[in-house]
Amino acid sequence: MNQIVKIWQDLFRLFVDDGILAASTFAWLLLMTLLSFFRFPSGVLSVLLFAGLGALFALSTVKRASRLYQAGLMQMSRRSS
Amino acid sequence: MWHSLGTTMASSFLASLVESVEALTVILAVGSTRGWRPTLIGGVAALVVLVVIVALFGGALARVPLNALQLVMGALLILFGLRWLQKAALRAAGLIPLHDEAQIFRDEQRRLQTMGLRTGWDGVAFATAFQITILEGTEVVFVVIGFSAGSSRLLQAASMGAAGALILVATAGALIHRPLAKVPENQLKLVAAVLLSAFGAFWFGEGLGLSWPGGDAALLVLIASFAVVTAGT
Repeated sequence: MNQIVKIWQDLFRLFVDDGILAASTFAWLLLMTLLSFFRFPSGVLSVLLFAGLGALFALSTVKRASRLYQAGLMQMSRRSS
Repeated sequence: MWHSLGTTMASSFLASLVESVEALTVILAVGSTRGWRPTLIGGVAALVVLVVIVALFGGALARVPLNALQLVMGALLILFGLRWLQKAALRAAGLIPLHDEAQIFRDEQRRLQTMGLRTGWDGVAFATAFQITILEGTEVVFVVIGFSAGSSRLLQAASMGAAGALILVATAGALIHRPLAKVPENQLKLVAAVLLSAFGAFWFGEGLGLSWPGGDAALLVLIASFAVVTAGT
């Protein structure tokens, strides 16, 4: 049973590692879906779709990089003291 | 359509190559530490389970409306791809350790050795081989279905790409009996991640009924754009 639970957890982690990135991506895709119902120009929506995903990826990656960098600095200062 | 077929096959090959190499490392570690018989049986059992699941659900998937399939698979590919892309970017920046198959092989061997060896049937070897094969195999199945998103021609192309990768890695593993540490896995993962994200965005857009500027050629623009965003980040 434990093995099955572990496999399910691993499968979930295939798609969700950074919760903020996953949640914001899902929200953006939902927004694009809603906008498509309002007959926005197709070309505009397709560019928006990519631009939003690109921006979310860049922002969350920079944020996560900053957290990792800060954590690395703290570890180094603990070791030196 | 030619660039879609070629791009799909190449993308599926690359993504499947990465998964296969990861599975091979663990299979080799388990087999060399705890015996090949339960390890190989575990791996084969997982493949059988995957084939049964694909056979059961494959028919059901064919009945799902194309737009809905493209929306769902596109969204999942985007989540999967962006996750890989973020990790690849952080590895390239040196903020998380590079994926090292040789190290993973040694760590896995050490972990398995601490569990104590059994006489007779080794359930640990079976379970470990089963688990890694199911996990990596599911990723390969997902990638193949995701890249093709409802088109039977693209499904064939993606399946051929995945099969090629599996055969190549299995053959190399059988001949060398060592983890394929020299495969530039981190770079391949970065390229595969860009492709996964681009395909995901493309299929999601198709599922919404959007018309991409330039038609299928927009896929190549998306690939280049995601590569630029990643490099910039």
